[in-house]
Amino acid sequence: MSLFNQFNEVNEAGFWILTAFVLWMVVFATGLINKKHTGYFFPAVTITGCLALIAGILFSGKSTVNILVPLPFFLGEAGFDFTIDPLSKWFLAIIAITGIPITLFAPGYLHHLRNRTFPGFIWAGFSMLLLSMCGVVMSSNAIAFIVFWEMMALSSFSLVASDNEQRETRRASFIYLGATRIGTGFLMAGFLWAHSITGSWSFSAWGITGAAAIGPSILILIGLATKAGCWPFHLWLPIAHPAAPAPVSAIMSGVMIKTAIYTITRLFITGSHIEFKWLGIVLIVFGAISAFWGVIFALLQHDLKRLLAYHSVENIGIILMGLGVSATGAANNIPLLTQMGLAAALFHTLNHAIFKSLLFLGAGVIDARTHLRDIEKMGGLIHKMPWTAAAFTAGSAAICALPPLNGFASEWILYQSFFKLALNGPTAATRLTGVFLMAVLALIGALAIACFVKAVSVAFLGLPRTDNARRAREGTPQMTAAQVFLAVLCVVSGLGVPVLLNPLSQITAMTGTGSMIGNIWTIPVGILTIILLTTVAAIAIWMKKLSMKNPVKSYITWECGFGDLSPKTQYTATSFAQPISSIFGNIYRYALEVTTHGRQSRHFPETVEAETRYEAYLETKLYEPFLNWIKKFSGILLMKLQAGSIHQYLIYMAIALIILIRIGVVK
Amino acid sequence: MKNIFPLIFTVVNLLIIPLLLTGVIRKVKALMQNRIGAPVLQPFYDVAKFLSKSETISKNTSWVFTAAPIIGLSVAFLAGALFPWSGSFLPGKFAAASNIFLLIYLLALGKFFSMLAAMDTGSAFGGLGASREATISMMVEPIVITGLGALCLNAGTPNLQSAFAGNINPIIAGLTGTALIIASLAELSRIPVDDPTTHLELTMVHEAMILENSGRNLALIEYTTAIRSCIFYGLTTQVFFHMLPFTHSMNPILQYAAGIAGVLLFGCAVAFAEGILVKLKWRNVPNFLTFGTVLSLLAALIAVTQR
Amino acid sequence: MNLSQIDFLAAAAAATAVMMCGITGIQTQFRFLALQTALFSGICLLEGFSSHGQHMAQFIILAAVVLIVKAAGIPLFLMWAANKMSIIRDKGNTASPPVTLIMAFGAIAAGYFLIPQFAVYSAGNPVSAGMAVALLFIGMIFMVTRRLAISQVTGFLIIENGIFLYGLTQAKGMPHLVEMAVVFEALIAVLIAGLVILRINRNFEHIDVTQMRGLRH
Repeated sequence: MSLFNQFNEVNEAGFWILTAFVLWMVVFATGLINKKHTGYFFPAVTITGCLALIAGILFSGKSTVNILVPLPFFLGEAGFDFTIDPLSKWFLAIIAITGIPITLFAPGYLHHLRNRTFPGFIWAGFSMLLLSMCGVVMSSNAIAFIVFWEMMALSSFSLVASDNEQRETRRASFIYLGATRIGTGFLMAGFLWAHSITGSWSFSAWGITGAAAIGPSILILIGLATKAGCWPFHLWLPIAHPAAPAPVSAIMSGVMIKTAIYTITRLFITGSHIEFKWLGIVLIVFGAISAFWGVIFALLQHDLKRLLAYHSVENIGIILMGLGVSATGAANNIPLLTQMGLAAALFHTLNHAIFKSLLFLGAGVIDARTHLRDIEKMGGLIHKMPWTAAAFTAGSAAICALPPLNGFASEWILYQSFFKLALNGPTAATRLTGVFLMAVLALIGALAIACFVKAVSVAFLGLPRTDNARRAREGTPQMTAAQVFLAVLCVVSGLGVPVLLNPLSQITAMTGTGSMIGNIWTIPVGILTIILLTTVAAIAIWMKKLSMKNPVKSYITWECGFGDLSPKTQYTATSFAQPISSIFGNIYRYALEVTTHGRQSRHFPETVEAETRYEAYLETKLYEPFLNWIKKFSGILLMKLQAGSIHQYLIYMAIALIILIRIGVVK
Repeated sequence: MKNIFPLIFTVVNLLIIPLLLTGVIRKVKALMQNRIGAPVLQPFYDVAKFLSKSETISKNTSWVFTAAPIIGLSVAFLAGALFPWSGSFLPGKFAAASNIFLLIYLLALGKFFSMLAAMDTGSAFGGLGASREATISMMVEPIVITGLGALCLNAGTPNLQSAFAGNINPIIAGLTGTALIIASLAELSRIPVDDPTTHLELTMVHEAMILENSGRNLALIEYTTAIRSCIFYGLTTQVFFHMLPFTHSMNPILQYAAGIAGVLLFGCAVAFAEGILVKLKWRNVPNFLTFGTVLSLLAALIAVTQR
Repeated sequence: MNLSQIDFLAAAAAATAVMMCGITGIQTQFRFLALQTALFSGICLLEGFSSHGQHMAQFIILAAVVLIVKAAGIPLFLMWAANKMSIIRDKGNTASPPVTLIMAFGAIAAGYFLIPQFAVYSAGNPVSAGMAVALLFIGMIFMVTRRLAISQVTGFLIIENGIFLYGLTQAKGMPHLVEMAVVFEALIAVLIAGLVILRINRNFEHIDVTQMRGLRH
């Protein structure tokens, strides 16, 4: 079969998607060769690739496209088989839609890293990440999947490590690499197990049910949870994201961790390739814990990017809750519940990709312009970077699920599915779970509001707290454009739910029974938004009119008569979070210590220091001892094994050879 | 003709009742303290006075400070209009918009901006108020969602308007109603969670947040607070109405009158309670609010076992 | 499924037990305890009415005894003892009141959902039996999380109430003489415990169980 013939067989959609692949490969190759190039070649070609991908999605219409890549590209047991069905298309669209603004944003951001990194390498890694993510969501067999999954892990590792002159970054990238190794290890083990049960590498040929499904399911789920950053495997996420350049954090947090969501959906829900009995309850429990854990730890963070990374843990939890509801519906034969949960989860995946990339880009602008990531050192940025501030506020409102933005739309559908579970669940305990999930989501929503009020107001409002913040200025026009584009997408995706339900209903129809989610969206959100905006405009005009008569006076902030306020008297992020942090202090041992100095320190302190600390039990009590134990154990083992004797090594080789022959040759 | 009444009701609810409620609460509270107190219509005069005054704004502020009260009031208007008052109903498409989740997140939208505005001035007062407001709303939102969720489960629809149109188990209604009382005391910054009449450090939640607002800005905020009180008291009253089986089958006008009377009576009760209760220590507020959570969880437990 | 009146009273009693877990005021706790026990007396009466005259008189006497001894006598005695020792609050020890409250709610849910799996449960009434088990759990939680010795007595009484409820609603054939004996036994137990606590208070000037480890020496 020649390459040419193969192209004739795939239709136009396949052609455009392969074009995108080729374009990204070009960026990859030239990036490696020309590592210092800073012009518009890389972003232009990468964006063209994203556009080609969108064209491919649009051309494919409702049909499912199969692409069989011809012979030279063969992986031993199976080839690069791609299936592009509605589910793949949904994730391809997420990749393309967030890829475009992030690519637009990147040159302006990379400019401030120019002395520390090679832009060519970053572009090579970035395009390879885009390509491998597309490969992951299109692969129809386990081997191709793992290949792309590994490419994704390695390219994202190279991106995290790009600024490797910083000690912190090196540490973060190694932790990230370790996490990806563990994740892929579990995933591979699970796939091999599934293969040994079914004898096939193709997902669609898997139909594992009953007790046989438990082992592979658990392994695969652990592997995926590590990638997704689900509790308790989330530890790499808040370490790797702050270390990576902002566009990389945006694509990793916005899209890359969602490939795990895709895989769960593909294997367990839409295709029912593996039927795991307790999937629903497992996803619900771990989702709820992740969501709560993420938001409560986000509240403790002052590093803006780390805060956002913890919010990714939270949102992954929310998505998993939706998938869990969906699986519960499937297990109890309630098709509408299955479809609602799935639709809510996938819709939230899209929305989270949009607003999380927006927020990371906002953090990136601040980082590029002020070299600050600690919000305690920012302040008053809204006067210096109005566009970023507006876009960041919009993104915050979206992630807090405030109507009419997109976060609300997906969380509303999720609430509806919880309500449905509480209404139609098979047993009283299941129904109570539905109510409980509603309460948890409400709690998480309110905590997210607290967290983002903290982030927005300490970073952007008030007075600048340091000179760096005082000297801030707006990012380049492209950076602003990227943020505005995403902010507009937040609004569009919030208002255009009925349109977005079309592709979603194609996906939910894959669960077996025909699509039922056509009219689950009952809120006339467009009209309500218009009413709201009209009211706002009317009141604003009225206020303007009143201010003609009595103009606004500008004066200082009330300082209780002590003279002008210094920026230090402002409320800090720590103080803002303190009441909530102390309520949940049992989870992480929160301590506030106030020490006063000076001779008459009780009544006339000269200086007062307040310090808050927290110790996360999961890290200090569980992972640290475990890792220390492994270190110690492997240290001893290494001493024994690597004795330095050549004969000993030769014996190892001989043993390995014998084992391989035993496995491979003897039947 | 049938459509006219609900419209009138909604307009009256949004324009007259909120400030009247504030006036009634203040009057009853004054009487409890052996004072004569300001006339019941004083809040109307206050708002009119604030509107006619000029406004002083801190030079540190940005557009958020100016926009927040406007957004807050608009959101309160919208939520108040969507809220299913007894006797009125939302026509056609809008009926679906009286969804509990939408209403609660709409109110949260207003709160989000009011907290931002409080932080915008760079004053520690605003920060303290906003931080505590965030803490309280974190504890209140689960109560409201669980409680109303239990109620709606019993009615079989997440739509408040349809839920209130039918029968509800009186035990669930009672538990949810009590939970909502606790929630509304905290949400509206009233004793025993916050003292709305002072802005001393010990009591500052709402009042500390709006310390920097003056003139027209303040008028908008006062009005918003009044509407929010009206919504919460109205909600609680409606829930309690369902403990009395006959109320939701009455004539709409009678129902409406009963609803308004309920809201005002509720205001009196709150003022009465404020006369005899003391403010809780801030550290004890979570304890107080957890009672609300448990009550609404109990309501939910009964609701799920009753199906 | 509709709640019968007995179920309703049992559920209300369990709810008062939950609320007790969140209350820190000692006197208020005793008032709730009194209310809870009064509800059991109501259950006694209802059981009597539903037994169609067979054991009506016995049930009425039992109800009266419960009302007088357990709902009035014991709480009044405990209030007197608390007054005597001038204790006002018990803020809890291992878990704060909000956590205890949520745990108590969990006990109710667990009681309701687990009771059909219990060996001793044979059809009959899932709500009352579940609430009885829940009361046992809540009493345990209460005893574990409270700091003062007098609260241990309160927790014991909650557990005792749970057992009483179970016997009342599940074991229909139990002689009422036994039930009454149990009531008086509880009274005696509380009297002894109360007096001992008074004594401890006089000797150690506190009744904080967390600090009673020192008694070993």
